[in-house]
Amino acid sequence: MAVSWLARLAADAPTPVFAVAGVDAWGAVQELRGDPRIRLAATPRHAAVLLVAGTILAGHGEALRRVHDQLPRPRAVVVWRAPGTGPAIPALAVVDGSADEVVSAVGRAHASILADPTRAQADLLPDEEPTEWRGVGPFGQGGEGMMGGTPYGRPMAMTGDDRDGLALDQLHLTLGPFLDPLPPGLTLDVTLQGEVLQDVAVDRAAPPVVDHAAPGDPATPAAAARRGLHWLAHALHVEGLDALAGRAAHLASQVAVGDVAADRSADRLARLVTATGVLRSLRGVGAVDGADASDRWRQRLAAIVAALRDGVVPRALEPAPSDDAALAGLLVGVTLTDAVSTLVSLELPGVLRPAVAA
Amino acid sequence: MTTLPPVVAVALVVAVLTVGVYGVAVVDRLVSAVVAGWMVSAGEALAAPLRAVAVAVTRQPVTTEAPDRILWVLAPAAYAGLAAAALAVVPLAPGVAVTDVRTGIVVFGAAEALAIVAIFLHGWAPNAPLPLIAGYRFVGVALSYELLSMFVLIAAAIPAESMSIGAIVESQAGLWNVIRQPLGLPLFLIVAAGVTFLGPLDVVDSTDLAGGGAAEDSGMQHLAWSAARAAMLIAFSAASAAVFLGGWHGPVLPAAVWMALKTAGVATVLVGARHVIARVSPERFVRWAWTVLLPLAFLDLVIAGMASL
Repeated sequence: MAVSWLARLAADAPTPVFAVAGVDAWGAVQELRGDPRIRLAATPRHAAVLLVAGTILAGHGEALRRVHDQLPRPRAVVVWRAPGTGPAIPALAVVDGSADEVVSAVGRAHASILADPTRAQADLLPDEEPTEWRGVGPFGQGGEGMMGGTPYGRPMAMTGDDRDGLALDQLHLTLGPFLDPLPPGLTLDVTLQGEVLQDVAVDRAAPPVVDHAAPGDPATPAAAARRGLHWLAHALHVEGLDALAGRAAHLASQVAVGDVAADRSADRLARLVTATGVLRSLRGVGAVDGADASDRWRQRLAAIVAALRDGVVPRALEPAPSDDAALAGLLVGVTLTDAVSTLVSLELPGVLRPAVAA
Repeated sequence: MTTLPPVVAVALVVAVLTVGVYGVAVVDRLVSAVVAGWMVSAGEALAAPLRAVAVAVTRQPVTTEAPDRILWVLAPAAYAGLAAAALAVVPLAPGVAVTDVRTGIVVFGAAEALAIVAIFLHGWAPNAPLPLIAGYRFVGVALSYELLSMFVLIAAAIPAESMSIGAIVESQAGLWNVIRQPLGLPLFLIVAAGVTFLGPLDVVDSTDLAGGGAAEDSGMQHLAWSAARAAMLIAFSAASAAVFLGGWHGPVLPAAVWMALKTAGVATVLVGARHVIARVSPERFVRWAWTVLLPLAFLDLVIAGMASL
């Protein structure tokens, strides 16, 4: 009785969801931030339901299964608008319909595993080391002394010179392809000292280009505004402004149904975003061709307002360096925070196609 | 020096922190709904913390590979314990303090400084990269604002001629410190935002690190950490009310009600800031703290010293 009472109380809360989205459904997932019935979590550890949306590339199957197993039990998977070509993953519900339908399905899946935990989904990967113990060097991990090496295939920290000439630990990490703050499909192999990126290798998945969230002619002001709002919802989330992200996402859904009040809401949203100080905070971050992240935010905000208020079809934002090495060069020597802000502000070809005012 | 009987003191601290943590969760829900443009009823807002607890209880705590399990459990306990220790030296009404020691602001500052250790260890314990980066990042930022706290608290102690927080409240019977030392409260609120890593200073459990220090927490672990953060926010709100806003001084209403209202007001401002002020880059904040905020804290101290001559 007590358990069912607790389960009912938990089922009434916004369902914590971690979303793994293909490029074709990333915008639609961002629009879910505007629905108070669910809460998009920044990490799988905080989620109860894994939402797999759109086309997940076959090469990302292993990463998808790792994310799945990182959700605490009891967990459920809901698949949304999957074309059937990606890696298979067992799901409690498969939805092909609207955002409202998928949010309802997520809520039902959560209530279902709360009421009957035996319906929850088991781990997909075996609980074993990814590689064998190498047994090299005096302490067995293959490094120097007690540092470095790759025990069980995991690179350990090793000292190296930093930008101030000090010998500090270097940490080797792979970020992505489903790290919440990064654009979908982007993987970074980084070497960090403290929070400064010393070395970066970029791997961009070749993405599909259809975005179900913005059907129709992408050259229409409404479609462009909606895509801009999807970007804004994610960018605000990354900058720590989740409530405003919800407002941007809600506005995107208003645009989708042709709400005539959307233009006034866009004006107000742009003023609120400016008042948060985020544009000041991003000054000098990630400059490309003389424009920094703050400039790019400003351009995108202006484009959203112009598209909705004036019906202006915006021109495309200048894309980020298309060459992976050039993009990596932009990130080397900056802090991880600034690198993430830079990546979020850029238009990575094929990842998102928002636009700026002419 | 006022001291309550131990049983009463423990009950008082637990009650204030429990009500405070619940209140912070309710206000957070209300403010976020207003900013997001959602309709939320009072009933929904009041139920939100209970629902969040239910979600946490129904989630299995997940462990990582080779974590430091003891530290992982102890970090939220230490953080909450330090919040309780900090609150213990703040009188909630005349004669109502767990222990209004003569060195109250030193005890408060010590709890605040030791919180750095708890927050770092919370990042260290899971043996995972993102929490570790968050822990290191926090230490780098925290060192740059810790001095602010001591300067503004010492400045507030000068007119009281005592480091007891009760005496500092009494010294504001005629004029509150927020008027007498206008730089003190804003600087102290920056410290509060830093120690509780809220809003502009949410450099620890931040979304740019996919949850940062709490990225590996799940279920009750995450709930305990969130509650400890809220408890520290209440301790700072109560200290702000006592040291800068005249504490229990105010017309008509009972002293304890004034103290509660002022504490709730400060907590609401801090929670609201989380939703309307963007996060500041840690590197730029550190530069700003040493070049702008620290000189302002010196100036606050000079103003307090000159006024006392």
